[in-house]
Amino acid sequence: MMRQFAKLGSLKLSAILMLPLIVTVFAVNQLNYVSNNWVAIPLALLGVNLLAAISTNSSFRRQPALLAFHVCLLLVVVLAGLGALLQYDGHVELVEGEIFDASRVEVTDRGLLRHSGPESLKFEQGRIAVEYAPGLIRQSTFSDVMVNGEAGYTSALRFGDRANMTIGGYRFSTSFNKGFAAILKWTGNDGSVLLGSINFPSYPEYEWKQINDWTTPGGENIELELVLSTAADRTGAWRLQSEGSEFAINISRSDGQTTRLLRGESLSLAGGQLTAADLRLWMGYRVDSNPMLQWVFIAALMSLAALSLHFNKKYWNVGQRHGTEAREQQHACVSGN
Amino acid sequence: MPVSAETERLLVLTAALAFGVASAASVFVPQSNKRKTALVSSAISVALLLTVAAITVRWIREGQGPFLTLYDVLLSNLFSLALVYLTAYLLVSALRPAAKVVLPFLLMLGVWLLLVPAEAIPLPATYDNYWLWLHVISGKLFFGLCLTAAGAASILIFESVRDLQRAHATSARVADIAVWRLMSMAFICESFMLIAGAVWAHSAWGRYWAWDPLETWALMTWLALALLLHARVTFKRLPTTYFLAGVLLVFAVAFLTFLGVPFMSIAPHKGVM
Repeated sequence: MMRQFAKLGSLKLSAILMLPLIVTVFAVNQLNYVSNNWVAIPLALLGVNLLAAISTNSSFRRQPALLAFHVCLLLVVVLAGLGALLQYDGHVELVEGEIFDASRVEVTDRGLLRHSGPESLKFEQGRIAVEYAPGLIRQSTFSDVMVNGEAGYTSALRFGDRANMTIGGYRFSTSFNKGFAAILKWTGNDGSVLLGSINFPSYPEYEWKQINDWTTPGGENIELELVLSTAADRTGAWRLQSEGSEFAINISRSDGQTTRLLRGESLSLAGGQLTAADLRLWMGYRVDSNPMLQWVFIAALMSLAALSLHFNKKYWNVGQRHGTEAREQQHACVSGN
Repeated sequence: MPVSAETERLLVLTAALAFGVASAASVFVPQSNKRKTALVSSAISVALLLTVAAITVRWIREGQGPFLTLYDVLLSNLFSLALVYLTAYLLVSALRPAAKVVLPFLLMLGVWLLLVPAEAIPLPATYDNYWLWLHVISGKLFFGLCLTAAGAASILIFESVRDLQRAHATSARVADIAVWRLMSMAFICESFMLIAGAVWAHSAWGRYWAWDPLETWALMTWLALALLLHARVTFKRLPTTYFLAGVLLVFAVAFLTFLGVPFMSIAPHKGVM
């Protein structure tokens, strides 16, 4: 039995198993229909081979740094795999003044062992600003939020390109995806009042088509076009912000009639009245969580440190063995070159 | 006051000429000439200084480091590869014959640099952090060590491989040891490049690994190098030339990763730009 296990831990087998891993990685890159999950198979085989080698190969016991490198490498693979099972990834758009609602997160990846999302998080989106250098070259992004802590207190946070916001184990990263949102008030004929927002396409990237469709609570389909009083400045430094932005909204109805609403103005539609209440910014966030990430990082650094120690020891020994000869030879080379 | 693009181009052209002089000296000046080392190292040093000057004037004019375009990457690699090889050339005499391979390669990069558009792309704000520097520096060290090892391996394969069969230590034996030391150091640098790159990607794009073409090729380079180092220890009876040819193969994969894959599109990590 032990002999079979030793065969499983053969170093020659390790070299052979590396080939299918390289081929699979290549296939993942080149062939769209090959899922990256296939990499797990050669990795698992290599993992078994490594475990068997560590258990049965005495050379690992003679070289503790090499052993540490391989154990850490195994840890990296195991922790990264576990991380994929616990991963949470999604996108959400938040408007200035909006309270975060986890049900609005568009989840793009959820690991098999991930049963919950950021439902318990409570924060309010504050001001958003993006600075641009001349030529509309995006510079710094700022996003202010008010976070409700467990003790009930509220704290203000500012984050952006170089610093993310991490609360409750979830990381919120600002993105290049941001734009204007019209705050609209709907007053139904029955007296009910609704306040909401319509997010227009990313700005200034889609400055030329600030249009969105909406079906009112009264059931009428309308098209909204945002008209800003001042366009993005392409020649000088510029700041994208909602403060001081004057606007109008062109409302086009299905009968072809278009009405322009300024701030505070209203329009009667089927079933109620629509008022252009305000103009704010929205920010597209990436939301992600992976509890294993820091451990993968630590294991990877430890494996690197162990390998460096191993190589150092190996070459120190080589230096001892070949030092005299090598020095003589190098001296000869210097003289002859 | 920023220096013009024409001046920068002139500096690159002069640097390429200096690499040409260094290449010619390494190939045509006889080994017996006592001034060969001084001549070759001086020409590399001049080329290196001119490359540094070109990078500096570009950096001041554009307000950002050479990170994004093919021109940027060629220019910065010309500097880092020359610096790594010059250091190896001065410190390890057994690696000096590799100049016949390494310097024409640098000359080729210099000529290539003169043929590609020099327009800069603004560096996105999220890219600019310390991990970018660690990622780029470790990657360039890896590529430099790999090029030096590949140069020495080529010479060993084509000129002195018979010496390796002899029992006594020879210059080929010393060069062979140097090749594997370089490849081991390259493996450390490549490993750190992948770690730093993952941390940087996590900060810049919100994910640490996404199987984009550049990441995948970098992983394949790492795996190929790991396989080579492992195979050399495991299959000891195979001829040395097999492993030296493996060094050339790893360098070829690294070359594709650094200067091929990213520029099949406009910029490195094109998939997420």
